[in-house]
Amino acid sequence: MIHLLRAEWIKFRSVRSTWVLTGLAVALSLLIAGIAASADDGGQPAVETLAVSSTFVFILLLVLGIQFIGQEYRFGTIRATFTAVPNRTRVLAAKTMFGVGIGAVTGLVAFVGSFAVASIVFAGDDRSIPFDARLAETITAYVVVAAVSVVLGIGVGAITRNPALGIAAVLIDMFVLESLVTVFVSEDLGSVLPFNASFAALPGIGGDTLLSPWFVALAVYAAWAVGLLLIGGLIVERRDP
Amino acid sequence: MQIEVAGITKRFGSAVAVDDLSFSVRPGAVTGFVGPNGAGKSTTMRMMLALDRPDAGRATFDGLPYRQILDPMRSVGALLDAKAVHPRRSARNHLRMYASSNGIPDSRVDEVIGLVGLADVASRRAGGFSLGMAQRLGLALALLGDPPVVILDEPANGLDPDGIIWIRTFMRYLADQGHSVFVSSHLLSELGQVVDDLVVIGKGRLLALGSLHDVLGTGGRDAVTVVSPDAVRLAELVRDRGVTVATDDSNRIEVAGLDAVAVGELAAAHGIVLHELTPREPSLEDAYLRLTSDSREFRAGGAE
Repeated sequence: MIHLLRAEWIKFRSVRSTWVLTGLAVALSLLIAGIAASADDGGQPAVETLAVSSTFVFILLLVLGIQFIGQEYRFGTIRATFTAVPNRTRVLAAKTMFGVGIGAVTGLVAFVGSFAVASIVFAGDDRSIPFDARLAETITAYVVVAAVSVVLGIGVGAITRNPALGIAAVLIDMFVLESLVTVFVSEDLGSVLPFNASFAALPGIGGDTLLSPWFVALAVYAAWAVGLLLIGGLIVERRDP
Repeated sequence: MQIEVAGITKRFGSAVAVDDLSFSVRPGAVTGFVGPNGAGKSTTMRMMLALDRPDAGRATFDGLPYRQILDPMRSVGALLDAKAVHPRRSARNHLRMYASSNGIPDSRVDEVIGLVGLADVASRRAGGFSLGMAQRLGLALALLGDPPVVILDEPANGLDPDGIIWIRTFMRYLADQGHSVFVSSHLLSELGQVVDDLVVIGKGRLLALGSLHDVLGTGGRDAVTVVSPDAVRLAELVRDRGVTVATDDSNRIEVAGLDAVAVGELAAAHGIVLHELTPREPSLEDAYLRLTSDSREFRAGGAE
């Protein structure tokens, strides 16, 4: 497996799109943290300014996950990949493990960077973000949701085997389907859908939903990712590439 | 390493792409896999490499199905689609990612890059490669694990004459080193005399199998070209023996069914002067076209 992980690392580092997506995720989180901290009037805990960027960061990481497998199908390199490693489940497992690592690292860098930026802004107002249990919860949730987002992307990419289709499906679900279900069907049903669950997974941000407290929502989001990954794994195994 | 393909069959819906195909490929030889476009060559190769699931039959490498080979790049090298590269990834990184998945060291990557003559462009994006360079990169990928078996799907496709000669020479070199080389082409002339054995298919079915000479023997005929100032009289004499004669001008005739010795003696017995007497090898392409003439999906002229 270490060989396969190294192969995924080479695939990751040798193209630009992966660096653009992860770099954009970090840059955006810093920018948003700075804006949120400047606009913050002290009405809510200062730590919440660090999680405002989550939606954007997680969308970019989802896209990264979709690209991990979708690009291989798009450019046809998947055939040589499966010729080199005929056990397709192992290939997908390596991509998932690598994706968890990249997602967690990106999430951590984005969070720590946001913390630094927000702290500098707050310092002007003689405020600071306390090192407390709330901060520990927020950073845990942020990093785990980031890693799970990449896995969910890999699942969607494996199901669609076409990056554009996968990204379109995710965006339509996120901005149309889940809102429609929440508004017109049931608020409770809407809250267990993957992206609503990912918002609720950040302490204090998602508000009160069926999935409170935050770690319940986090578990539901992870369950979606694992479920989609398993379906994707079956499809990749069955379909001739 | 011996390849055995036994009764392999693939259907796409109601269409049968490969129909109960069996053959074997031996080490130290170049085995040509020829047939018209759409005959099922690529599908057969994909099934051998466990990319497509056969509906029946199996392919084995020294008795093992492809999926059970550990680090298969070390046993079987494949060139399927030379253009299958991420356009922004460099040729070297393209090879490195596959090498590392099979535990092949990076030093071997640089070795095969040199072997196929891509050393000067190895750091360039593979997306900008010409078809000839892409084919070389594909061949480098196939050779990464120094495998005893090399499977090449249309490696000469789109190459210029220099490239075709290069790839023929390369295949000969590999076979002489003891590799089993299994190479497909829709043009037998592209492979030419480099081929030792032939597997000929059409519409997914086996048409002929055996050494190049045997297969062409079933499709070709003895023929002799004769040039003589008295060609008309010689043509009549030959025709009297029930042999086909074709004339393209008054001095030149093509005799099919008699060898050069018989034609020469016949001419001498009747005092006919010969300016040329050339035995013609049954042409590779003639024999191939005759074998596959019933299985071409698209024919020019359309006179069915």
